[in-house]
Amino acid sequence: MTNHELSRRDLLKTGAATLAALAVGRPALAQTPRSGGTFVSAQTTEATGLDPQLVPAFSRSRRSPMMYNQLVRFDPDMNPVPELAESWDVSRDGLIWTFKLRQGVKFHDGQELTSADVKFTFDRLFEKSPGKSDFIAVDKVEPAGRYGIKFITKEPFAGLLAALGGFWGFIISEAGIKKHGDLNQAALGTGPFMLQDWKVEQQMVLKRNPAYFKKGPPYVDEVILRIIPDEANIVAALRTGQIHHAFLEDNKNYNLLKDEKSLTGYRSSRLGYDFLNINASRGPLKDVRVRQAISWAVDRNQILRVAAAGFGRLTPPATAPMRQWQLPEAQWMRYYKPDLDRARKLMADAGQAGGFTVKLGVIPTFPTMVLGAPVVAAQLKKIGITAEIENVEYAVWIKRWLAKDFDMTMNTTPGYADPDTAFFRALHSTKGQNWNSWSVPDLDAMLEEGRRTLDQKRRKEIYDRAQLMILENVPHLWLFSADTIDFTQTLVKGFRQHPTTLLYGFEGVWLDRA
Amino acid sequence: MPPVVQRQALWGRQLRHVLRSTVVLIGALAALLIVVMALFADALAPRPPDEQDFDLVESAPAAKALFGTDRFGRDVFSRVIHGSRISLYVALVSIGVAMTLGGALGLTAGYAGGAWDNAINRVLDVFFSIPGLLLAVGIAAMRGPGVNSAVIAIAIVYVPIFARVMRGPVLAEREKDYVQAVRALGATRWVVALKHVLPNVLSPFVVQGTIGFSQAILIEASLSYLGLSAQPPVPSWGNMLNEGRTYLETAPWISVFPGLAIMVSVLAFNLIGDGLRDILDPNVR
Amino acid sequence: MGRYLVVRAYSMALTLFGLTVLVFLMLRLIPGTVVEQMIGADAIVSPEMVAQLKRFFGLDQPWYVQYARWLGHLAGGDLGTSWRTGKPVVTLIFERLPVTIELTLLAVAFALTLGIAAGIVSAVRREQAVDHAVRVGALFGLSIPVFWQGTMLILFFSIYLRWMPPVVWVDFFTDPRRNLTIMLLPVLCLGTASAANIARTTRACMLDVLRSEYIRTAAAKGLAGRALVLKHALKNALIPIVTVAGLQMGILLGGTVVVEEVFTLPGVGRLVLWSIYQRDYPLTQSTILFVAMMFMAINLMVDLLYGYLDPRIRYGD
Repeated sequence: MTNHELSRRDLLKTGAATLAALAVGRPALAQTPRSGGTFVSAQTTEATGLDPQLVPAFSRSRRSPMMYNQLVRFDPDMNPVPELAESWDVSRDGLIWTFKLRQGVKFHDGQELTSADVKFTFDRLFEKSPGKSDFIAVDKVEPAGRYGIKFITKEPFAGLLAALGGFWGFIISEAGIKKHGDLNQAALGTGPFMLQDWKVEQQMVLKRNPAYFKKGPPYVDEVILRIIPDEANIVAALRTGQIHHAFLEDNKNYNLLKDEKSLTGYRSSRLGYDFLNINASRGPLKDVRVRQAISWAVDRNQILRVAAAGFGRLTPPATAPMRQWQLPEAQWMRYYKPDLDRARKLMADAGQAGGFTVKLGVIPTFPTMVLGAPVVAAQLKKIGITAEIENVEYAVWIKRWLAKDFDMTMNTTPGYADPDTAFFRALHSTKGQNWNSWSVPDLDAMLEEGRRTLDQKRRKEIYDRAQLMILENVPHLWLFSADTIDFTQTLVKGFRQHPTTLLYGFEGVWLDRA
Repeated sequence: MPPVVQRQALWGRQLRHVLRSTVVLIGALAALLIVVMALFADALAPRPPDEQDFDLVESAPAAKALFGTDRFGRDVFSRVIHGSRISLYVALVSIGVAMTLGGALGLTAGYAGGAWDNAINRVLDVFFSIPGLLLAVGIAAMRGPGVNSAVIAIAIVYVPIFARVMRGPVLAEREKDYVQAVRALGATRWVVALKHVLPNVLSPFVVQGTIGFSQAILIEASLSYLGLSAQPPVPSWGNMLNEGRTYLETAPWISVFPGLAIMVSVLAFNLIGDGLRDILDPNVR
Repeated sequence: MGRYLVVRAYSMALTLFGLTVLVFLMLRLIPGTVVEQMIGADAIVSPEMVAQLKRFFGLDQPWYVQYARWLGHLAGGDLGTSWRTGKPVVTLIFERLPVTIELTLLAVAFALTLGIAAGIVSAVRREQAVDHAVRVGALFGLSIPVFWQGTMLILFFSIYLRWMPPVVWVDFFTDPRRNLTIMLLPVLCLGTASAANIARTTRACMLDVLRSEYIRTAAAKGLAGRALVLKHALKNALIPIVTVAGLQMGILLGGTVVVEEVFTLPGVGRLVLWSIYQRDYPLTQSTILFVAMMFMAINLMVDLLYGYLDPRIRYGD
């Protein structure tokens, strides 16, 4: 508890400095930002809808920070910093969180943000959003005056800040819902940009919000998100100066662009990771020894090299941006040294010396999956496991994923800021999504304890133990965490990518000779 | 006309015949080569098509790998050889099915006429109402990606075409004197249709079959390219090309060779088609 | 003529009706619906929420009810609302249509110009080097896969010429020059096979006519050279050429789906594919219907033109 308080106070003290740093980007580039101009960014995938509470697709989450704000935001170092909430307190029993709202924040329609909007936001979220699973321990949300809001939880809930700063924490206005019905085609938030025009699969135009509550940003008058589905074309567009910014889906393209004089490249570590999902309720995969054998047989470095052109890193369950939660490298790296003899012995112990055949799912539109799967299959072949690659179209994959209808599948996740959201959802056998259809009661207990524990140091100990237990029991294989690679034209200043790849960075962007 | 020119023209015609037959011969040889490639792929390919070699990633064509290697260090040459299987399999099955089904529909429609003819024509019209390639792409996309989807999609596109090619000549043939004569002698309708009419209308049908075959190879490649036919890591020319597209700058060989393979095989069957048309069906040009 | 049009309209209506059944049923056979697509992998969803979404899209109804509803809307001239974008299907189609039409027309123009010119030259200079070149070229043109040609052209232009067409779409009326630069390669790729076809037809027809009695007579009367060829021969060869060109137009309309994918042009073909992947049934159904109508209209126009060019043809039976 004290630790947490301390870090929060530190943050409050440095809050203003943090914001300033964000706005001008990397210190080395610190200059006075210039206003004006149109900033064009290319995306490969279109958002299917914009409602921050109804659309779970990552393409939606990525766009939300342009039009909306959260109460709390995670800065590029993944520390929670004040956003719409100025400060917060937790009651002594850990059950009531009180947030003090920033005053004078205006929605795009000119109305002021009040606690009524925050309450409306979460009432709607709990009523009709799949995102309510992030707030499972929250009982209710109550206003405390015009600028105060209380989150009352059923049990102490350490993951609240992560949930508020997560994909489902964006604050909407009641007036917006009244006006538009839902916010799929329209947007009404407090964010740095206002939705102007949207042609699906072509482009989205956003105008600067002149009444944005932060002093300074946004600097550009207009942001255009262009859809260019083919990354080869994105590369060409960057080279020929037709767009200002793009985020690479296929990291090997870094090599094509890194020497271009007119471009600035950015490499940053990502919160998300690629993994090999194992259905622990199917045939030989039920046996923990078989899963361990798989883990020993897989050479993660090789997969990283093929799937992400080597730009990335191997990762323990808590990825690099979750710094304070990461295990020391010595403790997890030893699980990742390929050891075929050990793998074969484990197979034999499990009575599977002769091997077996499984299906390995791949979504054809995800490049890292398509590239990683044949490598995994070739490696598993060495211990007698024949992994038949099965290409499953996205819509069908989701259907089967929800029904847990797969043996093994390549998978990828944008990641989560807090170990509670990260592990509870994925691995708790009854109360989470249980990605691997498994059950390790000790781990369930540990995850529940971690959720209830607000003291940072004790939490850390719990999640250290949990991670080791995860590595031992192999629910899924953390294959690698690819670096996020962005390129901008050199005239673009102030850009900084976020570990979640949500587009927080655009509010600080400015054009040097606009 | 001056005599010189006439002699030139005569000489030209002879040359044309020689040229034609040589060209057809080349086509036939190329086609044979591709068929042999498909049949004996395992023996001919220097390496298994899905064997990865991480010491040899994206290396340029050289003695070690004739067509170079891809991102997994797989041998492009071996994959091109194995890719012929998908192309030929899909073309053979889809056109085979389309010819059988379309032929039967066309023959019965043309010969029986009346309500049956009318009904079949109505149904065919529905399929004719969508441009062929869009129809194929749509069907494959709806059925979900896979080799069988490609087969079904191409067959569906071609059944109506073969039905029409069969029906027209049958209609004309039905009215001819010899058919009436055989009927008068007491032969049943089916005997007449199969024994007498069919052989006389087969030529345009066979020519259309060869052309359809080359087109089927093209459509399959398009579907593969769009990710709707054979799925990686199974090599097909279309999906290799698609995979290679993102390596155009660094490793163009990944997409150049499968593309050449598609072109050569389509060309081969087109040449055979042209030759057959000249021999079997001199009226159509 | 009037009677002919009535008969054609009747048969087109029947065909469209058949098509509605076909498209509707095929879509219902695809695994996965828009609901899963909307939920995504990351959410913990209750069965009630899934049921609620299904109800919202009317997917909880039996298929014949869904079908009847759709037909009802169509009868009222309403193509429906896209599930994934919330926009009326008509709006989406008309956003995309100009791209596809422009692509098709430019490709037809390219194919006709190149095809007819090459065909004439080839026929007039029969058995000479030009003729052989045209014929071999035509064979290659027929055999080259559109997408490979596209890939190779991009490779050639970007690496050897260091030139790239603009990747960001601009429509013709905003910036005609830029628009045509974007269209250059797609049109080239789309039109190649048709140009080859038209060249072959033109050559064959021209040869027929050139050999025919009256051209010889005309030649004997002293008409000579270019005037003879163009005025008489071409006029008589035009009917089969128009037929082939009309056929090609339909084929090109279908070919746009591949070319739009290769060059990522925002046309109708890509809209159809996208809608299928998104399981956006109203969008797929109505767009396919719309394309079919366009296609049939083209065919009808070709037939009418055919009749106009060749007065021997009488419509009516």
